[in-house]
Amino acid sequence: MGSVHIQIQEAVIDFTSASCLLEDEGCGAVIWFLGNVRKTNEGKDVLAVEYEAHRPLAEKTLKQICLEAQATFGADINLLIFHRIGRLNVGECSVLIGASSPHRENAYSASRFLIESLKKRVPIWKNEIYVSGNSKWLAGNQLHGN
Amino acid sequence: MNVRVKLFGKAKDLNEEGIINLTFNDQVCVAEVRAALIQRCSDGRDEEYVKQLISDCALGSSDKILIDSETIDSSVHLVLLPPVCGG
Repeated sequence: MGSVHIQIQEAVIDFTSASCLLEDEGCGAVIWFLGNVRKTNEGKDVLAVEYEAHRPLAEKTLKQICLEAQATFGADINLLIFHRIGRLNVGECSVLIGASSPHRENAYSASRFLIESLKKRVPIWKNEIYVSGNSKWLAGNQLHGN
Repeated sequence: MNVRVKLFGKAKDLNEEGIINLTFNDQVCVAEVRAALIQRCSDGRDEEYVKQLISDCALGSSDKILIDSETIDSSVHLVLLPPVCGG
């Protein structure tokens, strides 16, 4: 069974130590996705983004998403999702997603599945702070109970 | 029975403190908690805006999203979760 690593953190993501967590001699493919704070959104100049999470539910959902990815793309895939909360300036990395697997196809598929699922299902919100001094909570995807 | 609702994200527009306390005489379902939130938060505000905002949110406990028919029969802490947009 592959490993699963989940973190919601205020600290800057340390890519070097994170990358060690996916080392696996049985895996010939490693895919990394980094999401960064963009300097413009919908024509507005962004100064920073404040991320907020419902931590217990976010961690539980992230783990569930990883288990679903392993069930779909291969039990031997190693997966990692680190997401930051708090205030991030333009250019900072807000999310790191990693997938290592024996072959590249499953690593690519799992990585895509993780980021798309995170955006739809994990209780994390963004408050964009603009250069103008205004701010706005961004629209998103509604959560539903089972 | 006391129900404490913690607000997240855009839902904090409803209350600066980020917490709404509701009291019920008897057990209620999640839909009734939602209705009580709309009533409480509509005081002095645009009722349609409040109704839409709360209707777009999910109500959850500490570890799961609740469905509207779920019953709450003892004092509990809930969370009001707007549409999500992590990443």
